[in-house]
Amino acid sequence: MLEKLNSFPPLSMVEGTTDRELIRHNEYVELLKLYEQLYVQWFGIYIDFLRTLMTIIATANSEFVKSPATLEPRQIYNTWIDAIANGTDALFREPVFASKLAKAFSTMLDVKKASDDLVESSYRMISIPTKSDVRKLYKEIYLIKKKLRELSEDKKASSTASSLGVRVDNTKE
Amino acid sequence: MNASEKDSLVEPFLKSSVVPPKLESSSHGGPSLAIDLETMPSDVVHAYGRVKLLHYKPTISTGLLKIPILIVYAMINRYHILDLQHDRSVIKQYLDRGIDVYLIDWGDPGPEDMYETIYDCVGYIDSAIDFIRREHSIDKVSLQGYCQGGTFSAIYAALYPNKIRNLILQAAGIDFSIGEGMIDVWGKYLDADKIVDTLGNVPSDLLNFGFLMLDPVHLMLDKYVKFYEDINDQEKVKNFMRMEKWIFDSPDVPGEVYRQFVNELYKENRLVKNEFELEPGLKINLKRIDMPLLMIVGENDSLMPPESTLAIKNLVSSEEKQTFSVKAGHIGVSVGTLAHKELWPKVVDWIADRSTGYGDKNKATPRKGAAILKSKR
Repeated sequence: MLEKLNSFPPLSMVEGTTDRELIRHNEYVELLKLYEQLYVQWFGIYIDFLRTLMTIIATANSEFVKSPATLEPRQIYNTWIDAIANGTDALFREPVFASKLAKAFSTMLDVKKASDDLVESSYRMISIPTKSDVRKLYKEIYLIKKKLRELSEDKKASSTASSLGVRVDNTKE
Repeated sequence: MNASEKDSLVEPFLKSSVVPPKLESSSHGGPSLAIDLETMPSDVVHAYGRVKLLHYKPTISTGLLKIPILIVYAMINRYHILDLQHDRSVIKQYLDRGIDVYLIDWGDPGPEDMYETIYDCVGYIDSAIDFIRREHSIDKVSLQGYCQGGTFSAIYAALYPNKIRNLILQAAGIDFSIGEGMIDVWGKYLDADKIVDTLGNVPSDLLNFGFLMLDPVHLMLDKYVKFYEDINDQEKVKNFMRMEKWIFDSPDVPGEVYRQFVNELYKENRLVKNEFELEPGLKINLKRIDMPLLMIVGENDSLMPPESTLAIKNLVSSEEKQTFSVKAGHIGVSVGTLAHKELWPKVVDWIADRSTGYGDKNKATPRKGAAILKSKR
């Protein structure tokens, strides 16, 4: 369906459409594709989880039926909670399920990145500072702060050493 | 469900004399639990931007010990777990014995802190240690690191062994190849580069969700059922609320610290191989750790298995090495009833025995390698 959307001419693709707008259109489609992927992946995880849960509950219930003595509600709860805890633990440890979870999480990050890129390209069109511009600035600030801290520590170390009459050996062992 | 069954469910709440905690808006915009932690008083004695050095004064006036202790907690969650309430406070145990306690509060890293690395964290520890040495006119300080803070402390002690009197590692991550917990299963799939490149700092909500998923049934369901059962016990309710407040009041983790920790320490396990480079060319050699070493572990700790901390035993050159363990998990080591009854008095004794007969006559004598960090700058 999304492939068709890609070939469907959007409103902006009329005469005079710039390359930049075409790129933005492709970015939207890419984002939609990622959302679809994410939905499919999470739905798969949900189904796997639900199946496991139903199996666990069915097994636990059959144990209750077999049990000759009348169980207290607390005993039933404990058995039930232990069964679910052990079952989910086993499911989460399964390599296939764990990799599915990791994949879905990775797609979430892809969605976030794609939407950030989209916002970024929109900001660039109207000359507004973008996230990557701000990050560059943060890096500059970090490096300046780091240098300042190091200089002040050097100064402190020198004054401590001179007041104690010892020489600070700056060579690495 | 019939009416009488419904009544039996709400009955404990109706009988309860506990005033439900108010929901207030937190700094994150979400609701926060309006319950106060029962912390010991402290002063901010030194600050480097958002990172603060707290000082807790001893609660006794005679028999004070000469060597203060600096506690370094992890950057995940906050240090309050060591001082949640008076009857479960590690800090109070130290203060009652006459030990001056200093603690690093990592604060709330903002987006501008995303480029901070472990090198910066170690630099903050160094500034704190130098401050304490100046204040107390001594050349060595006891250093205690908990969890990730323990990893940082071991790195620091390997760099500056001449500034550390005693090293105490509590549930510290040293050998990351050990462990069969859920975190080790998922760790293989963790793409720290992608997380940091996309998100910058690692959001606390993401980390909290990850921790809840390690044991979702007990942490998201059973815990609250047990809380409901104890709803009439005011003390238990308060304890529970304080713990909840601690769990969910956590700061973001600086992106580059997270990347370095996951990739180089956790996945590549470089620290135990003596291959971890704090900065290019500045390798950490654990063999340089030569001071008395105390390892504190929780026997049921699945987050940081005891073997991970104890692995340091064979990698250091300390002559005196001691291990104290308790039947508790990663957090129970700090707040568990058993830990406060059996473990912490022993720890306090161990530290106290090694904090006397050593005073201000010993002046700082930086030896070769003392200024490694500075020489690299």
